[in-house]
Amino acid sequence: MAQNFSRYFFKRLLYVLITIYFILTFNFFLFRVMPADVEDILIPKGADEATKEALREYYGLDRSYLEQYVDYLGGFLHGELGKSISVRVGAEVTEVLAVYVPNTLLLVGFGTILAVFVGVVLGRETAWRRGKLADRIGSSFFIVFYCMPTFLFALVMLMLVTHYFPSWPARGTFSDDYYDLDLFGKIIDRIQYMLLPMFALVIETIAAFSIVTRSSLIDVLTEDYMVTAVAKGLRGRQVLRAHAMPNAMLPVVTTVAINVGWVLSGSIMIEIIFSYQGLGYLTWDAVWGQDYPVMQAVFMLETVAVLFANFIADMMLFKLDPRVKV
Amino acid sequence: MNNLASVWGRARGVAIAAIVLSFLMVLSAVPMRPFSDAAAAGQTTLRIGMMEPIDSLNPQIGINDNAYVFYGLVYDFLISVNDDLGPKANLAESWYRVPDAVPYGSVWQYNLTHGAKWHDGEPFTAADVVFTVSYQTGVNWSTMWAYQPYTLLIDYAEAVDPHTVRIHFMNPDTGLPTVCTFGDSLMIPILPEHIWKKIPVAQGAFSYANPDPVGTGPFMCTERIYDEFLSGNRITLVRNPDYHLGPVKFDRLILEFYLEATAMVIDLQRGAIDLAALTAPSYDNLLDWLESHPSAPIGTYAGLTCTSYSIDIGTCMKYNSDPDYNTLRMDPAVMEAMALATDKEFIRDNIYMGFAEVGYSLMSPIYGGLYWEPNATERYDYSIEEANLILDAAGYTVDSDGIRRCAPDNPYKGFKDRLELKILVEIELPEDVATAKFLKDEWREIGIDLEVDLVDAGTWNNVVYGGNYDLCISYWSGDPDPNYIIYTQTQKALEGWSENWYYSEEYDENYTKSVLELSIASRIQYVKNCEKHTYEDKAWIVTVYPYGCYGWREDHFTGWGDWGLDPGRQLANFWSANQLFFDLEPISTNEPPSVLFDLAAGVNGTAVQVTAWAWDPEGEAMTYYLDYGDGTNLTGDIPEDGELSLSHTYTRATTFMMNLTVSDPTTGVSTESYAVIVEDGTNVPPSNIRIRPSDMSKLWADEEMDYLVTAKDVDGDPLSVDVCWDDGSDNYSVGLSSTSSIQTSEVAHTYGMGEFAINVTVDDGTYEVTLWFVLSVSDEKPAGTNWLIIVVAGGAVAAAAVVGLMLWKRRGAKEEEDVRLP
Repeated sequence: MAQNFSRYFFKRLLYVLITIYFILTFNFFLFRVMPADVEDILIPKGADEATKEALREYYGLDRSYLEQYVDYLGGFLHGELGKSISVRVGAEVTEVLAVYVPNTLLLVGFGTILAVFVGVVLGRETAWRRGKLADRIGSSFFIVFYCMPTFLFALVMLMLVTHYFPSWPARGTFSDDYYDLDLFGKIIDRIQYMLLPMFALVIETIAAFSIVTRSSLIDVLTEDYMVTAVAKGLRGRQVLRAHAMPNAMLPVVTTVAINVGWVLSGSIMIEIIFSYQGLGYLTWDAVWGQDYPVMQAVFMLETVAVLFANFIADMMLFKLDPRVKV
Repeated sequence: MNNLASVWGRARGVAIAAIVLSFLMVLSAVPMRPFSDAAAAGQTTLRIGMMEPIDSLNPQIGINDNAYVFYGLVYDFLISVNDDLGPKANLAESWYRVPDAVPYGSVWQYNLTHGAKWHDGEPFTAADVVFTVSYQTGVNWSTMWAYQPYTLLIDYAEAVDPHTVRIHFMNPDTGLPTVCTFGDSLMIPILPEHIWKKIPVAQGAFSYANPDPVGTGPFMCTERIYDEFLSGNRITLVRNPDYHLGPVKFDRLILEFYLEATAMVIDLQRGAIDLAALTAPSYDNLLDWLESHPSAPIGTYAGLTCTSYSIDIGTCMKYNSDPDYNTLRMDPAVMEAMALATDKEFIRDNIYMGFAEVGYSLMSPIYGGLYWEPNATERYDYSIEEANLILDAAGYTVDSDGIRRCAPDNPYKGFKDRLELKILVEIELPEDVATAKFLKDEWREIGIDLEVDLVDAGTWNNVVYGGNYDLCISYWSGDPDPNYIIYTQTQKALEGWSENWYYSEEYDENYTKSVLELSIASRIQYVKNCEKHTYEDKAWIVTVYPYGCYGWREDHFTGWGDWGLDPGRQLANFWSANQLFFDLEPISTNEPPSVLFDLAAGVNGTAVQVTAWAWDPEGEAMTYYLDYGDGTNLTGDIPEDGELSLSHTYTRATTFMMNLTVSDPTTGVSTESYAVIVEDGTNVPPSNIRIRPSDMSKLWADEEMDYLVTAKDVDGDPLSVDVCWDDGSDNYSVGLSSTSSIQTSEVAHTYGMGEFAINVTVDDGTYEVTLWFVLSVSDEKPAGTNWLIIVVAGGAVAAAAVVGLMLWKRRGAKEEEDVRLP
């Protein structure tokens, strides 16, 4: 029996919320069962006993795990994620995230969107022309860039571009005059700083999406209903567009949803090479510095992003794939 | 299927809309607060490239080197450091030991400047100094950890008057007044009382972000400092125009943070930054590049840092450490064997690529007379054989796997009896990791099985300061007075400062005497005794003193100085008011206009055509002042094409010296030429002779350029023109037709790099006039502007849009293609 969409929607939403709750709980206990004592991390060794006591109270470590857990959940619901203890000492985690999240959304978010569109088009065209020259060239392109280490490509690009365009920015997220610019100037400024890292980032994901689309479409083209579509008089691109692509998109949608994890965690190597302050670098920095409040928040953010993307993918699949309704 | 197709089509439309919408949404989320200070355009800026963003704006919290540099720019100390690392007046104009204090030297008086103000306009007074001292001493001492080596001996501070402070020192063990030797080297940033009195001590020491740092230093934070700190992209500071020691000579200082050194080297090479604090490998790359670009205006320095930076292998001397760890590490024979089996020269030459010196104690040769170095009999020279002999003599036998086992009665034997040790290394420090891996192989030869434990910085700190480890690799930096660095090995430093948990009564005795001793000679001896103890007791095996590696642009600023002879000028001098910043003077990048002022000639009493051509490299508007040489003059604007053509009538037949000054908004240039005036009926010589490139902005070596040759003969005689290019190529000869107006001939020529004296000879049949023009051709193409790439990128986007549109419109046109079914 076919499912009702709203029923399906709320059911999946409930699953997402339950998962978020479990991950929140896991996050809480994860940092309390690790080898290093959370008290050793949060409370400096040089502090005297009175200060240690004050800090224990400040972080709530003087209370039972259950009380800490309830406080933790309450804080999360109110958007209180604590203060950074090493990455940006004393700053509210929300303040830190407010700086890094937009940078990542701009870089990796747009990079992914670009990669999806270009990757799907390239995958479709190479599958459609499979075995021909265009397919051979395209497939070579996918394989080379899929296998090439991203950091290597990024470094080579950094050196080439800065050599031939000496005034092109090599690092950072925006210029020092950014705050003085009008909206149009800000957009140009952002694009200028974002283009290099974004290009280095998308080249691999384009290849990945192309490979998935190509293989998926080739599979679909072997199905019997393709013969049927031709037999009933449809021709060429009409078959591709109306019959093949919608079905070939199913695994692509799933791959994109999985890939959304990258949208927030970013690409650490790219961000480091171009000194681009995104969430990937923040995660790396927080892990090295054992900044647990920041780590908790970033992990949570990434988890929610992946869950949300999967939720959207489920909704799209419901529309795209009739089998889901059954 | 049609339904699915339309879903896919709609999804595509929605996705495109989503891109646009989300782009706007994200842009609305990025910081867009306008900056109210003067526009950045036209300001002179010193840009400093650094690895790693600062970790705190709070001078009581930050620990990385760059954070200290930042504090030294914004805050002042009572006394700074001069070029030779000696004391230099800052907030304290003068200081002395109060003569009648008992004992003599237990009270220091500081006479404060009357000219200092906090960046928010509040006056700086003695109350601020008293507050700063009180905030970190007494009951607050153990909490306020950042400057404990200084505050340990401070009893209290008192304000004698609004501009005089006295600091009283005491023996921390007895609580009685005691002499203090380092009263002229208290490296503590002075805080504004009116701001910090509201901050509880525990917060000030551990969690206060200090979002709006207010100091008295030569540079002030902007209103966006906290945003900049959070982003870790850059920190912008502006000149303090009212700085009490006089303002610096540039408008802004920007700390640019890099996460990868390659980009920093590139930015230094192309002039995007003015000063770079480099890693050894990136410095090596820069030197290689400079070898192939010897004319690049980049200065470099690699040498001992003014902070006495050292790399140290620590042995945990905490006896009650976790039983998982091997107490045999503390056996003097093992410690001696490890010291002997450490090839410091190999580490210096291979791991630090030669940019380091072999180390002995925590104090490097930068300390000059205070530096101690072991003599030939005291030194542990690298010797695997000797190390093995020592372990043999101490009763260590070798098992079949090559690892040594201690004698059953070895007093250092704990739960383990084999020499299996772990060395704790911070994974993000590549030189430390390489050193540990090298030691693993080396020490295997003396029967020590070394397990390299790579951990993150946080774990390293927890484990090391918890005292539960065998060995670690650490580093130390010190202040100009040795008190700071030798304090780190005292008993007082055991909880929080000491990594190796070393304690020695003799060491502590020498330390105490060194800080209480007024006699300089005696103090030097006590300090050297501490260094000797560090070396001989081997709780630290100091491997090397790594060099500080820097590169700077000599075409952007003058006044860099010699950082080797004057170590106090190094960027690492964070002890406030670094003289370097006051000596740096921006070099104007504005070039004066180029002017060709032509020879004029004519007849007495008739109008003479006076011509000139001017070109400004920056394309700025130009004005002129022309002195005709006959007592008359004229001013005006140079036309946009640079061609100046004026008419003037002379009333005497003679040769006049004309003078033309052409100025852009910044600079001007004067040049002279002649006006030859003859009586009517006399042949007039050729005039208005000139040769110039058709486009100066595209004049570079090995590129063909059109040259315009012009001349005129008032009498209308035909002219023969001969151009000698001065580069060995054939002369260019041309005849100009018979006319009395200016004639032009165009010829292409290609120059290599260099300066050329072009010789133009013009003959009208009566007179032959020869003029010289000097042309300088550069070796590199001028830097393009961002507009070039913006246009290219814009073109690419436009092309993509056009192609997309065409595909969209033609989406039904390919229906005729065959379906290639299997």
